[in-house]
Amino acid sequence: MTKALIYLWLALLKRRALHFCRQLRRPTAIVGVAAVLCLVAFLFHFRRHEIFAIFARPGSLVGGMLLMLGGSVFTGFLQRGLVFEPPDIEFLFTSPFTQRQIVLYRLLPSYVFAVVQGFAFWALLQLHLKHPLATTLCFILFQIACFHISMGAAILAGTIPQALHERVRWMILGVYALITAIYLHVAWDLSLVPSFATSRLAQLVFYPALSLTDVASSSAFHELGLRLRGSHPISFRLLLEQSLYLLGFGLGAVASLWLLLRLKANIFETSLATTTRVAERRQRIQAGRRIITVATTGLRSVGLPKLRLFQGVGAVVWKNLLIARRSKRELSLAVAFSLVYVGLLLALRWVLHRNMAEGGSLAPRELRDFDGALGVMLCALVFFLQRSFPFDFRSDGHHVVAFRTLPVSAFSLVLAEITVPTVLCLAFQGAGFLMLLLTGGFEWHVMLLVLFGFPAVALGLNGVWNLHYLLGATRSAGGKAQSATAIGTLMTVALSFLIFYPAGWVTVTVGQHARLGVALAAWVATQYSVDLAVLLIIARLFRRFEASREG
Amino acid sequence: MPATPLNDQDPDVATTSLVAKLLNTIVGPGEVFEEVLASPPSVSNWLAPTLLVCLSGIVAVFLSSPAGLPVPGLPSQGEPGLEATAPIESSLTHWRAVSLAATCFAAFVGTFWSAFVLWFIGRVFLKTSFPFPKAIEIAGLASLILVLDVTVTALLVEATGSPTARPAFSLILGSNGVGSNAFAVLAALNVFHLWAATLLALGLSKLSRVSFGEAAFWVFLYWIGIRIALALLR
Repeated sequence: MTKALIYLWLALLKRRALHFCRQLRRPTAIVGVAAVLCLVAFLFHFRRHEIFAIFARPGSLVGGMLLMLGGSVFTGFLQRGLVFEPPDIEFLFTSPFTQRQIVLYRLLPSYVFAVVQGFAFWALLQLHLKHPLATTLCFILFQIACFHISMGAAILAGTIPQALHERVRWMILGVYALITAIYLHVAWDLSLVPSFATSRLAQLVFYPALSLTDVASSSAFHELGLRLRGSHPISFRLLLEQSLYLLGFGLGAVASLWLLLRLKANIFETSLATTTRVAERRQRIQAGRRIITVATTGLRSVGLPKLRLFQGVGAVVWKNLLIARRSKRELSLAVAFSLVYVGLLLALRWVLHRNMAEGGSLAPRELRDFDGALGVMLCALVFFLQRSFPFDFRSDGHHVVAFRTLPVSAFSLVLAEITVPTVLCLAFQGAGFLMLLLTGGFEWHVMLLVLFGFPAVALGLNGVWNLHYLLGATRSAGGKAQSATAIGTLMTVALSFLIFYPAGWVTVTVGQHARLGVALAAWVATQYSVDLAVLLIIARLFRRFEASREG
Repeated sequence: MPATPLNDQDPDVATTSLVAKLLNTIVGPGEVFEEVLASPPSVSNWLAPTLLVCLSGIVAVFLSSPAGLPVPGLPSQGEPGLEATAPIESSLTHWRAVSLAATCFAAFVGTFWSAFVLWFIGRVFLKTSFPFPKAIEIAGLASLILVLDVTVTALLVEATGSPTARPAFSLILGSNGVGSNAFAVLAALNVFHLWAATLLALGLSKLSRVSFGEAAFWVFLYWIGIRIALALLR
């Protein structure tokens, strides 16, 4: 290879390295690099673990080599020709370089990669290898050979017709399947072949390359013959019964098909209406909107109340309250679920008090902990209820653009949006707590938890989920097909738990140095601060959404 | 996927009788397959060889015996258990009846199955399309080799006195290696199996209009390669 090409490669390598460093300013890039570094550090830290010894086994190494070799051949073959950068094509192909020089230039990055990979191999497995240095060098050379093979396969594959290329691809896969099965059997004692596949009867699938006498003397045929002969009369009767059953059900299927095909009704008009309805329903679900049946759309309009609370941005609260009043299905489901949930807590408390009345003893501290646990469980009810009250950005997602024209601040609008579900959650939890009170009083700290803690939790949870709904709504308004992704939903679920972590940490820290009341006060204060931060984030997002629309 | 026109009568291809086709399959299969592909579909092309296979199988059954049931001239095969349920004569008759039925069943089902495998390989892996009836005719004619296999095997068993004797490389090991992986692998390398696979590969290459090597890869992978793999993976 000429010095010019080496210089070109080094210059490009330097430029790519600088570009990579500049890319690290982007949060996603730095997170990705950090994740990889963490993984490498994690593996290096646990390099003495026995699992690395398994990787260093001859069987594992041979498997890895087969994988590398097979992968090289297949990826190279799929590539069909060498891949260059567009500037390389313009520069290299028009310059006076020979084909060998260009091939070597193309291999240089692969050689560097092989050396880096070899170093990683040595760092992770050196403790489990007898001759680490020699093995690592062999590994690097084998990797380099794989790159050569891959490039050779790519060059060869580029010279054959497309149709033949597709067919040879299948051939390679077929051979790989056989090699994999044999390797797993030999190296790991794993058999992918079921026992019946090696029986004499199974030889029938290789007809005419079989021994006919072997198939004829197959035990499967002779056992069947014995049964039919009458050595097992019950089996014969069973066979007859099964045949009759099969015949009966088969006739039933044929008769029902015959009747179906004789129907004279016009399927096209009814199918059109049904298809339209189902498609609209699917579209609404994909857009994150609620499904409204035709029967509910005939409701009359309702005038705005004169109460000052519902004036201005309060009108949004009133609208959502009206929707909630008309959403009998959602409310009924929430009531039923809450009754079951609270009924369980009620039963637990009732059983405890009955046992205590019958002479069972429980230390006051344990009784207080039990009541505290019940309070926490009741508090957790909000996680289920929140999904049952879609009277926030969930149902108003398609009105987000219109909301920005209202003469109200973003923060007050966000607060108005999450008011109804939060209040409903608290109302249901409050009703549940009153029911629990029927079985006896609670300690003061539980009462405080209910009074100040429940609203903080309900507000935080509704805030997090509305952040998710608002993001989905902005995506929909921006013309994105899918309003919410699975990853987004998963992150929201994680965040809906993590949002309580700061308050919990503060409580534990304060609780180690102060009394319970102070710790609870710290928890409430921290949680409300976090809730406020979430609401401010939603409001900011709402404002930025408007700016992006205008831009 | 290119559809291969196979049914147009080619004036250059000579039409021969069924007997001539069957005989020529052994000595010059290429011409026979060309003729079959150029002719309209004919049931006799696969039915006749399949019936011959059945016939040879029936003869082989009458010459052999199950485990524990002595037949003059042949030793027992070492499969216990079948004679315990009935007197020897009755069991032998029953065994033969079942074997005859199994032989005929295997011949007919095997012909259709091998035709399906050929058709599937052509359709999926070779990306060509050809009529299934033609695949049945090719598979049927190729199964003629089985008649020779059955005959030679019967003679070999008679000559060596070993029921496991086959016209395969397993003869090198004799009766001592029966049951081992090596024996199973060498038994898969049966001369007649290789011959039948070659005929199938030739037929597939004619059907698919691909090179013999390419067709042979798939045919040998399925009919020989998988058998060897199964022998190794037991």
